[in-house]
Amino acid sequence: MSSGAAAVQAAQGRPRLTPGSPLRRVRKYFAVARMGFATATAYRKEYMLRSVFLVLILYVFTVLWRAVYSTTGTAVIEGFSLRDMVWYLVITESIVFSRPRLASRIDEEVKSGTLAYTLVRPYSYMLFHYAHTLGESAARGLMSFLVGGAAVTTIVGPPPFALANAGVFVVALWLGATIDFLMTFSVGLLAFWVEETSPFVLIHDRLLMLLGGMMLPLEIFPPLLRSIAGWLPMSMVLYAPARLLVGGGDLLPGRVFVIQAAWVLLAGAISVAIFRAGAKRVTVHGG
Amino acid sequence: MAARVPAAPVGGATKRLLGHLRLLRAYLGANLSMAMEYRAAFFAQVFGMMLNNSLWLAYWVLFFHRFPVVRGWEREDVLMLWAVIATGFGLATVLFGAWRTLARLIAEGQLDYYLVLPKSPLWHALMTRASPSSWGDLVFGLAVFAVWGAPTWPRAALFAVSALACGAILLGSGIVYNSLAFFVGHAEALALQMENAVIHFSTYPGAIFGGAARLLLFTVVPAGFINHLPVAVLRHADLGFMAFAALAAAAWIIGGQLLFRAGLRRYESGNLIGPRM
Amino acid sequence: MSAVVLEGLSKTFRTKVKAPGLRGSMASLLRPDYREVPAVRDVSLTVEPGELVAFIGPNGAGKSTTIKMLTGILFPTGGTASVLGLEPWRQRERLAYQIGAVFGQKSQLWYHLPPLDSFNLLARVYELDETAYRTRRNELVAAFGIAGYLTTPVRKLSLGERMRCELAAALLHRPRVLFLDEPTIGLDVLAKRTIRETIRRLNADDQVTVFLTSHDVGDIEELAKRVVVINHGQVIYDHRTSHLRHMLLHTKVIDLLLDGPGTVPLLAGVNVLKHTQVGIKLEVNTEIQPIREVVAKLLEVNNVLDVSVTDPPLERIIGMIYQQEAPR
Repeated sequence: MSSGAAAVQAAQGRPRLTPGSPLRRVRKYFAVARMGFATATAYRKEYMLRSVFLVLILYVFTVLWRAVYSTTGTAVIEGFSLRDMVWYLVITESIVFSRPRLASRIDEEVKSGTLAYTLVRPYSYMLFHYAHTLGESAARGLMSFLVGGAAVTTIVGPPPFALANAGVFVVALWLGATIDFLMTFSVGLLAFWVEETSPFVLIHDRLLMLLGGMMLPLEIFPPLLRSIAGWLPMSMVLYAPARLLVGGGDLLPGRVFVIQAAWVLLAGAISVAIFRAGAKRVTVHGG
Repeated sequence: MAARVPAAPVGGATKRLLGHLRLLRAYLGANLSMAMEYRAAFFAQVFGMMLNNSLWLAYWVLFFHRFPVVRGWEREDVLMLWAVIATGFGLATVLFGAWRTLARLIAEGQLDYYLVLPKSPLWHALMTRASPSSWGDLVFGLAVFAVWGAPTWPRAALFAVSALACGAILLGSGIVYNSLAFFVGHAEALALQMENAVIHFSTYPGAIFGGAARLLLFTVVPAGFINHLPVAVLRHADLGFMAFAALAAAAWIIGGQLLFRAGLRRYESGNLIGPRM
Repeated sequence: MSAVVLEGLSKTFRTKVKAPGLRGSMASLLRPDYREVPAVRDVSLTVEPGELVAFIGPNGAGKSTTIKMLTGILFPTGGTASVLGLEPWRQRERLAYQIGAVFGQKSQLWYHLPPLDSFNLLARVYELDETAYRTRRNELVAAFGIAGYLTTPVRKLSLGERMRCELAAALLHRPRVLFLDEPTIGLDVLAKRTIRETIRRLNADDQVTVFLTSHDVGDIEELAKRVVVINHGQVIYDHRTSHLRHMLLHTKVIDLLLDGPGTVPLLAGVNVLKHTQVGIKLEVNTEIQPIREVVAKLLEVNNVLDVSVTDPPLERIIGMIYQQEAPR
């Protein structure tokens, strides 16, 4: 479409998108994200049942930390009050519970050859899964948070979050989710080369839980481990957003965003490289 | 025509028990063959189990590094707790692996087949999936005790008693929860949640629970008998608590058997609630 | 002693009826409403050792329920049953050593393992003496022709091959009574024939009493010497198979091959099934019209090239029996 024609269109007050324009592509992925969200909410009954286990976990953690606080006799440990600590765990556990089984899905698609078909589609395989995963995680995370949060409120009281932290939290959460997606996606792609990816998925998940601060905020770690973990991508997925929302620590949002962005770029580059290598394998070996 | 095979052995409780034990061995063999048939999955499962257990150990090591003593519990106590649970759970599942799928067996009418066979249908149902991958848990538990348990013969004996009690309680409570499938519909999900609850509560220091929670953990969700073992038994060799736990273990096992038998009568009336295929 | 005796055996299922929705659930809790479904009503029959009885009926007739009561899986709500002198649900375990059962739809073989492994396990279950078991196993393997896939995982076997292994498994402990619930269901014609042949031989050689349920008429035609028809929970027919054909329906089918279109004489009790350019097919009710008359008349008015007089297909007979109420 010539710029002249476009100008005429604009003058007539009807913004028309050319096929293949970036805006149209973005809208397509938003639709995919909505689809992911809808899929997750369609299964909400089963998911809610699984969330019962989340309540169990949070309850026991609450009891444990109550005992810790009473033993040390202090109201604040490493910048966390009991309420802060428990709600921190609500966030990190909700994020972990919200993660869909992406790696095994990718593994399946690689093994079944579905991947080969998608290479022909006019949208990027990666972006499709990214959008879908975000949508799903959003739905699941919301449901988990509601269930877990409700339970925790009855024991320690309402969330101590300052509304001011909300925006920062959302950005950090999104960046963290992106990093998590890229890592998990890469693990799933190992299916190009390995028979059973489940051991790798397991290791990755467990490392995320431990080093990401799912069960313990990084402040509780021994100093050396704390500084190392603070730079690793796992803590950017779980600890960072949760800490920013709970507030009261010495975590600077700006610093967090910079580290997260760096990891997004690095993980992104690695994922794309792995994907390209794997795709080459498909075309060379015929899937 | 060839000689007739021996008729039904009648009488003799020991003879009956021996028969069941030989059957157990046969089931173990069959399940092992099946595991070897799907070797990759078997090893992946064992690996996953060990990794999961190690994660929790790492968590507790970090935790107790920061908080050396919590309500009288120290790092060694929690490590021993995990060793006991892994060993007990491993033992129960290696032998009677299907205890976690009992509810589904009942709901799907699979018991029909076991009822036509000689020997206790409960044994058949439990042993049909003697899970070989639980050897991973068993070995893990024993290894943790060997490395961090300061093993001496007396301590090993206390450890053995604790692990057996733990295994028996898990198995017994599992049978009770799953047997609810005889009486209520959709019991599988409920049974699963209850089993998860027992296991999860067991893995935390018993001393942190008080009040109503404590009551719950010594009744409906018998994790209390397990999560007090390391301090009461391994540390203090408290014979009173040992007896208490052993009694509870026996009670849950017997209770499970009774409930199952009652449920079986209902099953045989054909009037089960819920789908019966 | 008779092998199997049923006397006035009845089974009524009681299920809770619940109105839909939350209201219904609440109401059901306070004042439960039951619905009674009679599955088996007052069934009496006796089976002698060595007999091969087919127990047939349409779906939901009560066949499976009856077999379940005879194997001790269900207990009855009325009447008595005795298998080899034992009450199935009360002396279940003792009886288990002497009976075998194959349920067509459920498998007793381990799906992921070779049949041989399942056999070995069953040897332990029935506490068979090692040497006796091995001899017996080889006997059965030869008789059923399953040597070729004894060590192949069951999941890789065809349905026919699997059924043969199931039968062999059920006979390892030399049961005196064998209960077969729909053994040929889902099998192709050739496989069905093999299975039937095997069962027949078993019954003849080893004098195993066979009690089989089916809704495949072919099972009756080829296997059973005695047929019991059950419908709506009641026995409506219990006779030798031959009786079924000859005595119950006074019907014959006449098939004529003609030289050109024929004429059907107007006679009572004659029903035209097919009338084409080259032939006529008739059904004759011999109670109304003796077959001799019909044939004579047909030959008179037609140029007959070929004639055959046959019994109606068993299917048709069974179908007509199903529609009957219980006699007497």
